[in-house]
Amino acid sequence: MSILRVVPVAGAVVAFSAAGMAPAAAQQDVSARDKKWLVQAHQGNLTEVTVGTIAQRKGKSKAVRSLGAMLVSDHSKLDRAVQDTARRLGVSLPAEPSTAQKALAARLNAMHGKAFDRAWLNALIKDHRDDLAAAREEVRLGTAAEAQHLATVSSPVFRKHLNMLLRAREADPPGHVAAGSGGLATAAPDGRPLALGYGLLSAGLLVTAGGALLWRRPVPWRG
Amino acid sequence: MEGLTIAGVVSAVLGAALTVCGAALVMRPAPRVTPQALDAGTVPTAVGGPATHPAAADTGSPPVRLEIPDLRVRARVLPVGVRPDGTLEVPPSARDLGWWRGGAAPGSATGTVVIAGHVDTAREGPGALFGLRGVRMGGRINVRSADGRTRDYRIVARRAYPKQRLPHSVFAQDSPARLVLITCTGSFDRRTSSYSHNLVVYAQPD
Repeated sequence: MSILRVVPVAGAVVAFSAAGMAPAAAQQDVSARDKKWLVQAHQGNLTEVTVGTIAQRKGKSKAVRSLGAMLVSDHSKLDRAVQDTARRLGVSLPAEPSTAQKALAARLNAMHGKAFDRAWLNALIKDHRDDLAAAREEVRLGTAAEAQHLATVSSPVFRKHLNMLLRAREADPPGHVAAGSGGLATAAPDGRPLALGYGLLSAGLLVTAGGALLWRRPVPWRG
Repeated sequence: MEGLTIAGVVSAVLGAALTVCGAALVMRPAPRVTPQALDAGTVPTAVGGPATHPAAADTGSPPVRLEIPDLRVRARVLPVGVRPDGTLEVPPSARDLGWWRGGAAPGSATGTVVIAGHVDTAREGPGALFGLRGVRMGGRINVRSADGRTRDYRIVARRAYPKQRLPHSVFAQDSPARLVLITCTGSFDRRTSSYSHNLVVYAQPD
């Protein structure tokens, strides 16, 4: 498993390096879009390594903990490739993830148990969808062949992660089912024979009253 | 005179006795766990075999329609997921049912097929599973799947669980092949517009 999942990444890195060595790579037209994508990919990798580490430590389910480990390992490798490409293309990369990404990591770090697992999976699913969309854009609209190539070979890794994240989320059973808001189906009949109770009560009162009358006022009957 | 007095005393005593009995019936507090009166049958549970991920054993096909002939229920079934807060999604229309796509599909060799539906909604009134608490043990549920096949299930158990303590085992995927239908029951809290209990009906492939 661990070997299998490293292969595509290692392949991506090797394929990329080979492209990087090619002399043609030296003169590339690095556009603003290429720069933007490299920065975004780098910050995405930093974030995924950070939240992957958090998941290894805090994940409640084994699936989340091992997904965390996989993200750390795969995105570390991807990021080395991103850094190499950026260096060769003369693009400088920020040292840290974005403010929003740091806030996400902090928010996840403050959660626990099942809530952590769910929030983590949801965040990472969104993240990987964004990664895939950004890579697709870079392939379509980028100008530096080396960056485009990196986006192409990274995509299968993102897709693999996304599929595993989605499966982990679906394997997490629901805790509650809220399936009624009308109030028409209130309670089972509670089994109390209320009609009988009220019947006995009124009959009893009548008979008591009648008996009391007979008992107290027998005289008129004699007359 | 003697006879009348005796009759009077007897009537008074009898009447008092009746009054007390009646009052006792009327004033007896309502039982607290009334939904439990809905419990019936034996829940088909895990056989203790190795836990398999549903996808590994999955030979089934997603459900698209469900019928409960006894209750004249005929409903569309839509795939649903789990919200971030852990609640199962239920289709917005009270008439539709939701199949939890993280669980087994009908025809799968193992695991629970989970289908939930509204008992009612404030907007639409009675929902697809309004009559579920009236199902009889041994009754049929027919589920048609995307593969065009209809699979028949036989109802074997019914349980009411307090909502906050809905057992995880209801969603078990290491269980024998079974179908569970989930809706709401119990008392209704007007403030939160929600019921106190979940009603779960268990069925086995026929």
